[in-house]
Amino acid sequence: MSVWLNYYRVSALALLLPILFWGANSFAAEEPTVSRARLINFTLDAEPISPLPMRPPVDPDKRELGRTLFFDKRMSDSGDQSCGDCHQLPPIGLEESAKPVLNGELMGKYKRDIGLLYNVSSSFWLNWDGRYAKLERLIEDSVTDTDKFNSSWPELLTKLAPSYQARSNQLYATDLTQAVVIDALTIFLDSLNTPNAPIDRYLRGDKEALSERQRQGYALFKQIGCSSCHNGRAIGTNLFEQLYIYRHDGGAEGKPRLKDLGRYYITGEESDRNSFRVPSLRNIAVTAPYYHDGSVETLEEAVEEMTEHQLGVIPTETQVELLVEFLASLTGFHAGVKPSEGRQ
Amino acid sequence: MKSFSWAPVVAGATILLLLTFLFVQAQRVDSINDEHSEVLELLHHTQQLDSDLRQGLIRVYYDQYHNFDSLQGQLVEMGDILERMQSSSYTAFRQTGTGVEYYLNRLLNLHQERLQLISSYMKHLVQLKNAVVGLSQTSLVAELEHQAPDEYGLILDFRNSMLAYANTPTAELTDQADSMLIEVEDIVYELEEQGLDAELMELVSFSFQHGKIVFKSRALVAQSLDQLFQLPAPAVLSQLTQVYLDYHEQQERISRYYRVGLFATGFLLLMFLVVTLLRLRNTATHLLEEKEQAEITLGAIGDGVISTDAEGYVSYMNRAAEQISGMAFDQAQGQTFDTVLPLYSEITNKPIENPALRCLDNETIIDIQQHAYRIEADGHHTGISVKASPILSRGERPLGAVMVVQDVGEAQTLAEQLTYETSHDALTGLLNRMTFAQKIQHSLDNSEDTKHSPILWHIDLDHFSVINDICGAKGGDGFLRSIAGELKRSLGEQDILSRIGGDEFAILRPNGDPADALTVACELRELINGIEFEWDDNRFDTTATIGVVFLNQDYLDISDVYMAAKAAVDTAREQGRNNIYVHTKDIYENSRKHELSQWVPRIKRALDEGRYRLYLQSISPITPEGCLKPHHAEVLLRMEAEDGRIIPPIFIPAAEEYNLMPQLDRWVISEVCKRVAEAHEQDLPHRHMCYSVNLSGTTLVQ
Repeated sequence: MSVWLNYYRVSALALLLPILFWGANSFAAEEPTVSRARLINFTLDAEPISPLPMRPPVDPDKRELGRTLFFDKRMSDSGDQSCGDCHQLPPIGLEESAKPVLNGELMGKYKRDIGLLYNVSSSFWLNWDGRYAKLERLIEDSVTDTDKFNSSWPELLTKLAPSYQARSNQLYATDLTQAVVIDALTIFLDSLNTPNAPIDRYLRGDKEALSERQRQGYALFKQIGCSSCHNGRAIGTNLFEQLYIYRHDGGAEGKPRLKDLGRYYITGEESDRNSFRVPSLRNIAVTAPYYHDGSVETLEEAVEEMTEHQLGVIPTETQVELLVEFLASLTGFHAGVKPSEGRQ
Repeated sequence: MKSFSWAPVVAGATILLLLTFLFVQAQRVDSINDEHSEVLELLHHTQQLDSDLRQGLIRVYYDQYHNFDSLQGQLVEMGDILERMQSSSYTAFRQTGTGVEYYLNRLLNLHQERLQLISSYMKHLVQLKNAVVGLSQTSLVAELEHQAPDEYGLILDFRNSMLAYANTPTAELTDQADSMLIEVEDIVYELEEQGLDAELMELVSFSFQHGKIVFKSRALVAQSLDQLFQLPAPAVLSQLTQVYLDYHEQQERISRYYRVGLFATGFLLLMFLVVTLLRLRNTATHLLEEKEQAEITLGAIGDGVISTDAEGYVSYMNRAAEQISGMAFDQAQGQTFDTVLPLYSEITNKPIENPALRCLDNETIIDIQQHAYRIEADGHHTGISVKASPILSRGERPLGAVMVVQDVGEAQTLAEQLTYETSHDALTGLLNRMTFAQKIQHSLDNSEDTKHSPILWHIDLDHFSVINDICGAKGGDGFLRSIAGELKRSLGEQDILSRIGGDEFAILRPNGDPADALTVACELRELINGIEFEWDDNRFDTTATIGVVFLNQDYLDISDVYMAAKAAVDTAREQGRNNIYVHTKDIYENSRKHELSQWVPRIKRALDEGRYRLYLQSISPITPEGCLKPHHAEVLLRMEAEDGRIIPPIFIPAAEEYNLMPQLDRWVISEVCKRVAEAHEQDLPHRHMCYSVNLSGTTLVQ
């Protein structure tokens, strides 16, 4: 008799448990997850600049596959150009490389400065004219663009398949496809951020991360309106702004720069003429030359020109110095990536 | 065999198919419903994002130091969600007629439009804010107060009205700002012509530009914000959600139907299975009973039964078959018939082709009744008969074969024993009377040789009853056995000895010389006389009376022969025991028949002519007082010969032989009656006399 009672008890329990779990699940589902995220954003919004997230946790094997692809010269039609040939990934923020790291070569159809790929995943708009909003799309088109790799995906995949088939099967459980190549490259690019710049540490609460003058420079940066455009995680890239708002008919030096119509090439809107994506100011101190045409060599010049033409303000020498000093605090850290190198 | 019925199979398959169909459908709808909750969650999230985005747009306007990250983040997320929904495999988006796709496309277009508007909004908001900041700078105003006090007031007014306009762009303030711009533009030219300090001039010029940008941007910001808020995105989104919810509900309903159908069909299947199982159990029980019955039947019969499957391998054997083949069923199972019971032909002494396979191949019954044997373990041959029959079902290939195997050797022995027992005397082992009769008949039929003829010696033991009385039945039997043994020893090659009665023996020589008949008889008598039988200290001399009969065509049947033999013995016995009488049919038959037949015409003529005379013989009792008066008389019949002699009734046997007695008896009766009547009429003294009349047996028969 007692055995049967036990039996009934166990079956009743077995029936009740799923119901309980179901109930618990349905309650859990109603918990608002969005508003919590909003709360965090709200507090950070007080500063125009948001700290750069630490390096995202990416699959090291896929990142390695992406790195190999990034430096694979077979990517181009001619077979002698890799992504890494144009997009150098020098060390950033380390002692020995406190000097400018770019040669300022102008690239592509519009002869633009290509800048550094660091923090590319934090950019909302990509390229100077914001042609892309997603890295995946950019990579997809880069293969076929005549001024980039000038190849085609089927052709490329045929060339790459022998070397990457095994890795692809292992990591993605599929043969090498366009999606695999793009995903691996994207993951690699995602890993290229330069966190822990002094400004990030400052924003995270370490007030001593910035020097007194840098703090003054930051205040000035906000006060005179630089941060109107240069805000967010990437300190830029959120919007398009017209070049030469003030005195656009003035300086003779502006004329050649205005030959590039910028965003207008993409949208064809008259209002977008000479508009460019606001560039990211991360690592700005080590990524001379400046502007889309790489025509300005020093940061001081760039700051002066920017305040004059974009803000309609003529800064004093001290102000420029303060701003330049502040901008130096935006340099983060990255050991750099070289083709021969293994993993970091 | 009952023909195979497809109905339950079809029914079962149909139910299973239905079940599978319903299950697949239910699974499909379920997976769609899973999608639903996912999509609904996404839609809900999108609505949340949408409202957040609107708030964000206002907030960045009022923020002192704005950060576009959250706005852009929301935009990107929303774009991602919409794109995901569009490119996803969600069924609802692939189905036409739900309206979902239309609203989604609409939403995507709105999103693109919003992206553009927000870009423009940001651009002008930044310009406006920066221009306002530039305009508010105090350094210009202080310088200007010294160097151009005339224009100072105007610039101050300009700045204030511009800031006021930027703050609240009422119609009045707009007009004022517009006119101020025109005014200040002139002043800027004037000041430039006056040759104002270059640095100051720059400040003135910037200030004017700030104002211009404030004026322009404020309008554009307001305009793009207006446009942004007029976008019907939230409405479309809630419409999409509603449409989707409708679709969802519909799917849920369908899912419920499928579930009910699934349950019902499952129940149906259960019932079907139960019914099938019950029927199966019934059939199995029946089959088991039948099988048991068949096995018991097969086990009980004396013939060996071996059945094989369609390929000729043994699948069953009964006990008799095990005995015949000398192989247990366990060993024999799965073997070929050849292995279990190898048979050889008596004619060729070679193995006989497997009858099981032959009957399976030809689909006919193979019957091997003779000329087959098997070799026993000890080497001797046993005759075997096999009858192989195919088990045919519905005209297809046979299901198997059944072999009925008989041990013919055994059967023969039994038959022989039976024959022996029926044809021989149990006591002496000699042929019995019946078989002996057959032998006689056989020799009668075959005796054509005139010189030689079958001879029969009929030996009748004398005084056997005496021995029987003294020694009992047991002693009598022993006596008979010893006699039989002695007689058997004395037989010639062709002689046949038989015990034809209790103490009667007979010897038949089918082809004997009549000259030897008496010699043989004498020898037999000597032999029997020489036998001394002892029993319980009693010694008996044995003698026999022997009758000899020569058999020929004149004997019509066996009874004739026996009769003749009996007659011969009787004749011999009349002459004294231990005697021999040779009976010849010729003598006996010819004399008597001839004599009798001669009487026939005389009897008939005498009857016609009334030449019969009746005599009376009075019968008187003799007493001590002397002979008494007779009280009745016996009527006697006499024939008066043609010559007048009175003939005693020697004609009676002839009359009986030739069936004339009834006539005679009738004549006697009527004559007697007539005389008695006359006596009464004439009142004669002997009228009260009694008369006894002798009647013949044949008359009585009639």
